Amino acid sequence: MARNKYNVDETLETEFNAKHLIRSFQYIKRYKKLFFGAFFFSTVSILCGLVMPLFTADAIDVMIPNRDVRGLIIAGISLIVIVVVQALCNRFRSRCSAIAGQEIIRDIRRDLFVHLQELPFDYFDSRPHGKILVRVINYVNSVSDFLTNGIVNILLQILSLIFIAIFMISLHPQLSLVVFAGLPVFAIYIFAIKQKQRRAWQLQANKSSNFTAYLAESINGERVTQSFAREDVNYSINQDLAMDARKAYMKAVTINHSIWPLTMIISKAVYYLIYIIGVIYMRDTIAVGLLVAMTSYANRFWGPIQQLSTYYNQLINTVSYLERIFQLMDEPVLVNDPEGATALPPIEGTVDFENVIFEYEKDRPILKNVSFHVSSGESIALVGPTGAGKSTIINLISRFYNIKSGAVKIDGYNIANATLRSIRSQMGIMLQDTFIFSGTIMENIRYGRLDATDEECIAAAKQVFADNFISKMPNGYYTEINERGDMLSAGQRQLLSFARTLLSDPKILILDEATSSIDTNTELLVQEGIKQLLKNRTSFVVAHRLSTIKDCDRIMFINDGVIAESGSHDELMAQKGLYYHLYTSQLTNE
Amino acid sequence: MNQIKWAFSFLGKSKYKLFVAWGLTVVYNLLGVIDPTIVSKIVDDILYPMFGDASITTQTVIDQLLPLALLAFGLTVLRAISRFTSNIFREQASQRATYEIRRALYKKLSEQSRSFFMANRSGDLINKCTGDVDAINNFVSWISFSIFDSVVMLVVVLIVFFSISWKFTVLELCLAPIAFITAIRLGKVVRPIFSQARLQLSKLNTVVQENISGNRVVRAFCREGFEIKKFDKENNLYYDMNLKANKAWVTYSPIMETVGNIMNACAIIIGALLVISGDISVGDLVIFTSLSWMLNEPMQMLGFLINDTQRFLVSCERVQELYESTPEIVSPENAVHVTHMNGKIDLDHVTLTFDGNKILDDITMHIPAGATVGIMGPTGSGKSSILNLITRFVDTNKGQVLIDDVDVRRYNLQDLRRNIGIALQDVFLFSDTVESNIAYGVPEAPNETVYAAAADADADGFVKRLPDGYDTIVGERGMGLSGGQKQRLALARALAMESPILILDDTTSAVDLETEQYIQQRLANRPIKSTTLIVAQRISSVKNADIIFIIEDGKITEQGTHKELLAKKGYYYNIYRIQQGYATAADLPLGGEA
Repeated sequence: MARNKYNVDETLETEFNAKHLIRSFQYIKRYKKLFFGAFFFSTVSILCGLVMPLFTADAIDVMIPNRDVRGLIIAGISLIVIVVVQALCNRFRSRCSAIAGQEIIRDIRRDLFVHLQELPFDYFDSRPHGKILVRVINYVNSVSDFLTNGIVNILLQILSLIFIAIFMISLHPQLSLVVFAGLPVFAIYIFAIKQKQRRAWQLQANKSSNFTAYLAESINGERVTQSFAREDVNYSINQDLAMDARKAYMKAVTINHSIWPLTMIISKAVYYLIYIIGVIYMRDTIAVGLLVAMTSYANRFWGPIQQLSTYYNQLINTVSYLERIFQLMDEPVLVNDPEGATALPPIEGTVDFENVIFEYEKDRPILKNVSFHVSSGESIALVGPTGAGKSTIINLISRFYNIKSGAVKIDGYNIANATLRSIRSQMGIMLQDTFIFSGTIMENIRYGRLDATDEECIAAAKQVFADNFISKMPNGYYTEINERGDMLSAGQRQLLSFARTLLSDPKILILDEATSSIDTNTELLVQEGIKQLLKNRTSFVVAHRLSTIKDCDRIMFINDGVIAESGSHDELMAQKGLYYHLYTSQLTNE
Repeated sequence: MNQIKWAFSFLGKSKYKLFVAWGLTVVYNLLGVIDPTIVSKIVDDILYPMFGDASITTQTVIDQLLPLALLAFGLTVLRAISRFTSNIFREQASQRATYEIRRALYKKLSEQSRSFFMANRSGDLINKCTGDVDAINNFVSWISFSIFDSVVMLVVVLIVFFSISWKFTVLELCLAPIAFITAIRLGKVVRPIFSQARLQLSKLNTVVQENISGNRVVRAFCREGFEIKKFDKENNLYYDMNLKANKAWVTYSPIMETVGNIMNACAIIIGALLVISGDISVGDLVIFTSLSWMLNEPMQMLGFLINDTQRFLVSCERVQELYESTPEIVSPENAVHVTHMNGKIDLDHVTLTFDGNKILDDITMHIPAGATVGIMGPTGSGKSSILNLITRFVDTNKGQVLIDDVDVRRYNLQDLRRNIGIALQDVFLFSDTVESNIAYGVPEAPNETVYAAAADADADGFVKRLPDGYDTIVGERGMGLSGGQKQRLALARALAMESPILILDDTTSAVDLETEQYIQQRLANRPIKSTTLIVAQRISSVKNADIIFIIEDGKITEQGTHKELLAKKGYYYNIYRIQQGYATAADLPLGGEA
């Protein structure tokens, strides 16, 4: 069952954890050449910037007094060359980091998506889909800038900080200490707000995730909302969520904006302190020129710190996104190929359950010791009250879940040791939830077998009598269907999903309420049509219509997690048990 | 710039806050100009004359120095405060605008009709309300502010420069047109790329969203590899699009950057030449060089500002498109307000066409208040369309639908729908508690109403067995529940409305027969008498109805009670025989109505 809804914040660790950042290096590492390029070109560009003042100083101090026009023109040309080199370097740097950044987010996004393909159903069932979506789309976009430009810039700033520090110390160690004296104040402030800031950005990410989740659900459920005339209530919920997001953002951003002014104040305090201390203590030992030089170094020292503080903000922000991205990546895969899994050979289709015990949640067994044997080609109807475990049995045959104990065997192979692909590719499963993808009708049918030709797709559609309605559509098989197939009726969607299952030509066919919305005539025709197909297949059918059930070779009545009755229609009728009761109650009632 | 005007109109009173923020940045810049003059005073008037002079006491120097240092420090604090305040004010203002836009968009979305949601991908709609609105926020809070800042800087520096030497200024500026032309060019080139990138992101969004929603189907068909390929395609295109945008950027931005830097560096050379020619003094040159960054910086920013402005314009257009879309079905002017209808429904020669196809053809039905009506017919014959007409999800092309003798198009839309409880064929549950889901249409309903509705829908039993009972949160679309359970929750949700009209669209198809019978009994014994429309495929669902309509190909082909229809030996009779297991396909009239 779900644990999260639109207005529930996801809990995350509160301590700042560098591990997310370190982990992101596995992506950065792949593009180290590009990073090196970006770093190299920025360094050259910075050096160009440092060379420029040399020319200008020379111009004022030497050339003007000498009226050296030729020298000035040469200086001018040199400057232009330097400027062009600098611009080119910046261009290459931008290109390098753009490529690296886009590669990284493409990789991260791909890894997330691939991981999503392996996560258990429970993961999708237990939270609004918008919250998953926002991680794959929005969050990944948000981290790219920091992971490229941010990191290159931080490295550069730290480098220049070290250079300036060394320079200052070599110039005058005591006065350098004055410049450094601002650092502890700065550090204390950063330390003091660290937790607060981190929490504020986490909160912000949470609130915007809530907002997006509700928005996504509102769009998907608009039909229900309008039917129930609940627009006003939803509007105010959305308004509250937007307000929460707004407040959280303001809180986080206020902390961010406080850092820059602080560094500005500290750096200016340090600046004037140098003059004052110089005047008080060093009048005998140093010259004014040195004092002035030290102040300009103080400016240069605190400049990178100011820049770093901006990147620090970005870092905190990025880590709060990375945390969620990696949290999704770390979500455990419950059902996967075990080590040394072997592929099932082409199967005959016998199915065995041996003392299967299964529970979704601990100590709430859904199946309590179920055993049965189904021979190849047999058709089995599963009947019983809602929630008795019919769908569970079906889910276990295709190993959508791991069982607690016992064994599920196909052709005598324990499927727990077989690759998922080899199991599922030989099965056709038609679920209650007939999900239709956006795209053409043809593409949706072809989902069952990707290499099927158009003719084969059409043949499958004809077999389930879907051709009648499809050929009436504006572009026939090439009609574009919107998301979830909204423009089709439920019955039409079921027919489509039927066609795509048949196309997959499975050895074991599973129909879970597959025809509940199809009208009786069509269902009858469909069944007549597939009777031939069922001949060489093992099939499991969950249905409520007795006409569907009666035709099966064997009926299993599932009640409260056990097989209460099993046998053909006639045998079960003779037993006068649960099935008999169900059947007669329906007949007498009509 | 209609987009800018539009975006700023959402500021409301916050626009004054934004103005203050902009004003404070002027203060910040001016204070920034004063600071160097104090420093030069300290250096030139105090330090150089006094520092090395042993005859002047340290105390005297400090007395001279301290007030200036404190003044400068005070100004810095003032600058810091104005910077902080300015930042907070512009963030607050733009957050306000963003919030208002989000509200407005949500309202727009909730008013849209079916055709809108069919024509728009949900991924695109979500992106418009999130990423595109963020781009607007970025423009209102930061880009517009930076543009203003740059313009102020340019104006200030140009005034100063012109007042000192027009020759110098003109020489300095002769390169500027190149930068501006490049900027305009960049804007033109980059805009369609941004537009495509946004669309591509929406496509990527749709692929991921469908994959999440359809995860069961993906697994069932073992199509993980196919899905990843599909995803890779869109992901790679998005990658290409972003790099294309970067390509445009690296093509044009170096030109602007170079122009800016040349202006900065050459200020000295040009200035020096002018000094030599006697046009300006050395002092003037010092001012030029010390202020030339104010000329350079806006030039450096130009490309970046153009880039992000284009990003904004693209996003803003997308958002505006959504904002300005008009819903097809709205409450009429002077709408009829009604709190409680009687529930008499009449369809009077109703015809409905869609894409040129007749969905319903001259349908006439008279349903007295409190009656129970069954509607049957083949898949796609138009049954659901009748329901859509009554709830006004579509409007007729000909004829009219009346409730209590008033055309549904004349009612206030909300009033109309509040009088109808509907359980839709396609069960959509919200990721919220069971209780909230049942009370969806009546959020302030007392618990008893919810429990009673659940009991009547035979949902009470299984709900109580859920881990947290009525407080259990169900997954989006009710994932994790069985089809029958979902349908019963949808039914309970409709019943909780206690509305005079109840519509059950294939509500019990996944429920076993015993349960269905039980539900029918409960419904018959409810104290609230509703006009009930039941669309179903099963005879058992409709046979107790007062009247049953058979819809085939958009027309009513049979109507009457269960007994009457059996006697007619038509469609209904056939279905009855099949469902009882007496008939097979061989007994069907050739061709079938599928």
